[in-house]
Amino acid sequence: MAAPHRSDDAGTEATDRTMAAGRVLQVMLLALCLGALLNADALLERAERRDLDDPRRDASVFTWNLVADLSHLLSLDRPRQLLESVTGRDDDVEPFVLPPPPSGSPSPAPTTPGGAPDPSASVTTTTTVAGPELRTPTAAEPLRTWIGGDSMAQTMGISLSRAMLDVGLFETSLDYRISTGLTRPDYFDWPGHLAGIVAEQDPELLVIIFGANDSQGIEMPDGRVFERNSPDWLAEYRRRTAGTMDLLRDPDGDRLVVWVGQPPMRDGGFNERMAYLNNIYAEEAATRPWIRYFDTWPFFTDGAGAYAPSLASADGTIADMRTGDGIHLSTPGGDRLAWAIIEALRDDLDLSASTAAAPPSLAPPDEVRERTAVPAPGG
Amino acid sequence: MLFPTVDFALFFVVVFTGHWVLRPRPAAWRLFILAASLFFYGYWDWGFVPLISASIVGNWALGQWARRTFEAGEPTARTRLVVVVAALGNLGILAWFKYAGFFATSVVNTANEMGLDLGPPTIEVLLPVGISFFTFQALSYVIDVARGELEPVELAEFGVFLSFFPQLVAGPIVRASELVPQMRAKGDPRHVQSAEGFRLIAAGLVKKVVVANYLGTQIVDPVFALPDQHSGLTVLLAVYAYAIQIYADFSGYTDIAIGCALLLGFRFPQNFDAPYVATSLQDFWRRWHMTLSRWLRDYLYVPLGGNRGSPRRLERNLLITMLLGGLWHGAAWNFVIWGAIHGFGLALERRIKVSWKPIGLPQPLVQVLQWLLTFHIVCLAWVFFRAETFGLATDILTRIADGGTGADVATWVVLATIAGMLASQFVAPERVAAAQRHLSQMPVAAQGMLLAGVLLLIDTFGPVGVAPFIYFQF
Repeated sequence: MAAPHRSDDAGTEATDRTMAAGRVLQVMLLALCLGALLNADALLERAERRDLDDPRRDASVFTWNLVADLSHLLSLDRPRQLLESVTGRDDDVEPFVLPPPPSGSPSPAPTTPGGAPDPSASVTTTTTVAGPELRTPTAAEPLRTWIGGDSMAQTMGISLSRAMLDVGLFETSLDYRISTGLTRPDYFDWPGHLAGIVAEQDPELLVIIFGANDSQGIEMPDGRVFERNSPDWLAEYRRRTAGTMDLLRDPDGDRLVVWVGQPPMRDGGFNERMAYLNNIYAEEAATRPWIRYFDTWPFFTDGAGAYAPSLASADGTIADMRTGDGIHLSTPGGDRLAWAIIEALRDDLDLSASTAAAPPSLAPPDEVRERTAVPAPGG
Repeated sequence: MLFPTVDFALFFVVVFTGHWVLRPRPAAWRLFILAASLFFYGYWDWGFVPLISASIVGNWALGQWARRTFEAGEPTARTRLVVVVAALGNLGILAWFKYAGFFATSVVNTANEMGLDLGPPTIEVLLPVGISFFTFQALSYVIDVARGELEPVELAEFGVFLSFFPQLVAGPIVRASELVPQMRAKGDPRHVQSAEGFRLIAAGLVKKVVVANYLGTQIVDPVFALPDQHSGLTVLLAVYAYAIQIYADFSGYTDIAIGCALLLGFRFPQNFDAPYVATSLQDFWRRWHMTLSRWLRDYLYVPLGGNRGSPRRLERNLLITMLLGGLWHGAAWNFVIWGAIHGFGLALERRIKVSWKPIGLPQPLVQVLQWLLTFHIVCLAWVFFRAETFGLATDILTRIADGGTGADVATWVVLATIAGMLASQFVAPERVAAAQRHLSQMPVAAQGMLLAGVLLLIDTFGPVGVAPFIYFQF
């Protein structure tokens, strides 16, 4: 038998009193039941944050509601409230309400009579609308840049921050939140968070990506639930996208927002759902001069326009572009996207103060051509 | 299924009950535990259940075959052939899942450099969780049988041995000679080592959910992603923080695994023994991931010649063992460098020990200096282990060396967490034993309430959602 030792997994049982299995079960059940009551509100919140399309969500919410009611009745929610209060973890924030569209706001995008996007509609990615007037950044006065979004922003953001550091004309901050998006403000309120970002940091450039977690049902404040990709869902998602884009507008016109579309996905159904979202982003961006929609699709597809797990870079080096889940970008994928975004920024920004260019081993090859349109599925 | 989840808690209560009810009936018990373990594994991805099932059947058959090749109770040349088949089969499958993508990309890139115009490989291989662990465990069984150190076991017994859920996905790497006798004993439901089990589970949850996740999100992830944006001191603290994070994450998993097994009446081998108190690299490897070290020693280092032969040969054996130990983690140069640092370090350490002459320093000071040196060599190796690329690893080291200015993300809580976790390694074992004894003497209700309090603290201070264990990717 191992000799007793410190705090790791060494055996220290020699003088312990043992317990019958039945009594061990009693301890476990008591600990789990009491633990559930003590943490009931948090567990209920977690159940409510489940994907609305998750078949286990209703049963889970129902169960944890009962537990939470019992916890309140017995005042067993108090210890956690006290702990959170003492440690400053109890900062409940009122949900942010997207402002109504400003007068003279862009006309709504083409839809079918039911409210769904017109499948025949597609958005030209090369917009000719005049953009904001951005100053010329220098090494001494770099452009205040905020990069963020959902988990897709993690790799993209790290790569873009590194690339921008190489360019030397950007001062970046990275702010990604796993499992977030625009459909579940109850989980993370991006519009409210972004309103705070623009008010406090006043970034001159924002690079933002959403969507990977957004293809799920939307629950409205009045309790109505819109099924994914239904006409009501598409209209509401469009409203949220447009509202988020509007709140990022700078009144003086010196802020640019690069709204990055989702890349193609390995799973066909998921890929199609992302195409719906990309179409909405592109349509809404096309009517807002301060937004540039960046179409990632061409940079992550093979010659036949299909999802590609690995691709060649400008110097011919082949690298994995995606992680094993067929959704997220690998580090080389993030680097490829980052340098493509910087290249696209040159249309709006004078980056001549820097001679840095994409290393050929990271940059996409020249033959990658932008799509002329971002079609809706079936379009 | 992840340990720190409600799903696992419910699963474990059901399995615990079924386990002790069925324990007196070995055949039913084995089927129950096997089914529970496959359910536990399939909860991640049902597609991988056939793989582990094939590993169970295949390696069991290899064990039977190895035994049949014995003559007069001794292994023969044909037995060695079985071992070769087992090694090629197991390591081949492991290599396919771990290295095929890397290998295919490397081949295509090399061919293109030679003038061929090959397109990107279309191969995409998903790594089944825990495959490195259960493959090593299966291989050790076949080799032990082939060496005559173990009698072949029944298929269902072998199935339970290989898939036993507490240690299935991240160890400890258990040997059949350790687990099978415990499986065959009927277990005594009147005497469960519950205090030790509960202590380990609680400690493991705190280490994983609170400490590892906190350090990861607060300092390690942001600094290792963009070292140039942080001050040299912050980068140095991030390296220390990673040393603590990976220890808390991995040993936390081990603690929970060993604790769960204890509640089921099984004792797994120790996997960690306060590794950061080590005063030499050799000492470190006797305390870190001990079951992998043991595996590499018995099935790689010793067959290579071990300590036999010239000093140079011994150093070669050490280096090969550590390099392959690095590659076990994945196909990346970073892991090779990590293994090389430890391999060369161990070899150098042996040379120094042979020729060392005391220079008159007080022994306690020598001990402190040895500890400092060992800890920092281990941390240096962790830089390469954690950094995504070789370039980023050198950026981190350069940043520490030049002490550049930049953002500081290290808070007092981060510093206290690092210091507290390091200090915890030096806690006297008697104190831990005393606390555990005290727990064992408490009434049922008090134990339940105490553990519920731990769950309250973990859920309050842990993140929303649980990140996968670092070692799941290996």
